[in-house]
Amino acid sequence: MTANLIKIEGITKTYITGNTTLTALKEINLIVPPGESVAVMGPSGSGKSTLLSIIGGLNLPSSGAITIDDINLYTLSRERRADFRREYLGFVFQQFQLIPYLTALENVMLPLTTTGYSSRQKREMALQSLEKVNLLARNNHLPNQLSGGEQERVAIARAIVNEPPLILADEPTGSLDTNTAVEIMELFRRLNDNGLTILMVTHNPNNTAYMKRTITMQDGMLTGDTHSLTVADSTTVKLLDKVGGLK
Amino acid sequence: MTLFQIALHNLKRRKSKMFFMLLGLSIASTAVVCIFTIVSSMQVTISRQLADIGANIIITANSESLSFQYGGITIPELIYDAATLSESDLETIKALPDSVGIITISPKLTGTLAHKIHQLVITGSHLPSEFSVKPWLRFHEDHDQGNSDDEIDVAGSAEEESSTVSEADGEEMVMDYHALNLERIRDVPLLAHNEIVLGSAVAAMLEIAGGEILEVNDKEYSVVAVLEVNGMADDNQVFMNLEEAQTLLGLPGELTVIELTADFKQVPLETLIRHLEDVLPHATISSVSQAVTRRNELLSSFYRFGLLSGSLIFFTGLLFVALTMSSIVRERTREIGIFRAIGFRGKEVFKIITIETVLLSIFAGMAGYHGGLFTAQVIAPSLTGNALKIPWQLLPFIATVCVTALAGALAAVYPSLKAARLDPAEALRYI
Repeated sequence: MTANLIKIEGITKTYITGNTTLTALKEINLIVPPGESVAVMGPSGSGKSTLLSIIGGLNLPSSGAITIDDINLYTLSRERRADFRREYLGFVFQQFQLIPYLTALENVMLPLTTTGYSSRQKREMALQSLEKVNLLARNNHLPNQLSGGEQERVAIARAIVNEPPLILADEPTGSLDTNTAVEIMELFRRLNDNGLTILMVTHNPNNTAYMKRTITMQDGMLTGDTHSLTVADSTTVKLLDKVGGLK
Repeated sequence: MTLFQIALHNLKRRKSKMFFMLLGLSIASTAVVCIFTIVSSMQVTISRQLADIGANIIITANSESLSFQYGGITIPELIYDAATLSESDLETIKALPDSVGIITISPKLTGTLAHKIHQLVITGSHLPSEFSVKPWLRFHEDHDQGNSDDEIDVAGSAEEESSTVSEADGEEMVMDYHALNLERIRDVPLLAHNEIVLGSAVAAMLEIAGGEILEVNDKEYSVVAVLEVNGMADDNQVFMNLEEAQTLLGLPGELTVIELTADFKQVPLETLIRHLEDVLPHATISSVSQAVTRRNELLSSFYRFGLLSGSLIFFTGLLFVALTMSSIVRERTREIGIFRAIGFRGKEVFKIITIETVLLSIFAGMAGYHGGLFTAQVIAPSLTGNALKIPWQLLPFIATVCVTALAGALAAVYPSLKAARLDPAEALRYI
């Protein structure tokens, strides 16, 4: 692992629709070392999700360069970028985005589908991943048989099953109640404690308490970059919630 | 978790959509199988006619008359009770220099007689010659029970050798395309003056079996055998000794039709017909092969039409599959986006969609083959005049499934490519 897991240099992203040009990102520079956890905050339309999708190799920047673990992402072909995502990234989407006709276990096994592991190995890895998110007992349930929090945990298990160095999460607690959101954020914190680098887009300021660093965005530009107060345990978070959070 | 399992899971999930797609493709497959089955069965019939009666020559008296079905072929200018040929014509034929090439001469007198409430078609003939010129004739085993000695043996061997097997109800004919046996029955007995052989339909109409007695014009005739059903005019005839028929019909020495088989390597067909026309100016000389050839040409047209319409139906089915799969891909945009985001390559997404379509096509091929056989069996009688029982065969079944699967794979190319080329960021728009 290199000293800078994510290195973004002068990334700009513009969308051209007819005569209209929309600049989603303007000259973004960012360095994220391994083991860091970063919350990306900002109002809707500030470019958070665009930034996440570019880091994830899903969206091409208009200019600038991005390297992850010294791999220049956008010099790779589309198919090689898919391989890169499978090996280096774990995605946790908003609304969980589980495949509805697959069980929790099968959903978790998905990123391993095209790897060289045997069926038994894939199953073992998926079960271990579910165990890490405390959902082993529900491995045979379909997503619609699981609660929101459980679905989120399946999504996290899916993101970590192939042990990627970087997790990209987009509003992971956006559709969860407060208590469940706290559980999920604690889970992220534990994963980070175990060495995983996490980059999370969030609207919820409470979530920043679980991240080591918070960057803020406005109109496609980085407007702030601070190291947050980290929360040691859920009791503290609940206490903070009672007194109005970290605002 | 494999790509195949993902595809299978998705098929199970979209049951109604997949069912309608399966139904559409099955119907297309059924239509094609049905058309080809019927055409094949008709070709078998034609082949039989060409191979075994195609070279026969029919000599009838000149007359304006009704057409006559002979061996499944329509022969014009022949009418029952219109015998104007005579036995002297036989001598004329035998005297021809070409007679060395003539293998069989089968003279016949055909006429009708009233019997209770029925009209019987009486055919006086030389039975061994009749069996020689009509190789499809077979004695029915059940009707030989009361007969003795050779007749039972003949019927038995005929049954064993026959590839055209009658069902118990005497209505169905099994077409086995690969095992048509038209070997002529040998040792067919001459009929005595008091013996008759009944066509299957006459036997059924009169409710008479082999070994029983039929009384015609106050004279008793022993039914030595009943013929197997063959779907031709023979089913409706009462065969008896030629002289006895001439006496019974009051036409001594007269004949209705003379049929010849010849070795056309020794005597060219056209030459023999020309010579016969020269010596028998009062007769019409017809070659069954000409009629069969004309019918074969019609069948070829029907085959081409079947090929065209079958292909159109099939391509419509494939278009339907391609459009439905495209719409399913559109519905699954987000799901495909997830696959791509978590590291599936485009070709792997392509494979998932293709596997789904091919799996469905395999089932459609299976259903289509059986549906096609069933439909052909139901509608064949109205097209061919014969009820067909078409046997299930492994190779055509495998071929149907393979062709349908291949076609499904082709139909899947566009939707699969569309899925594979989906931009994951676009698919997961909200990211």
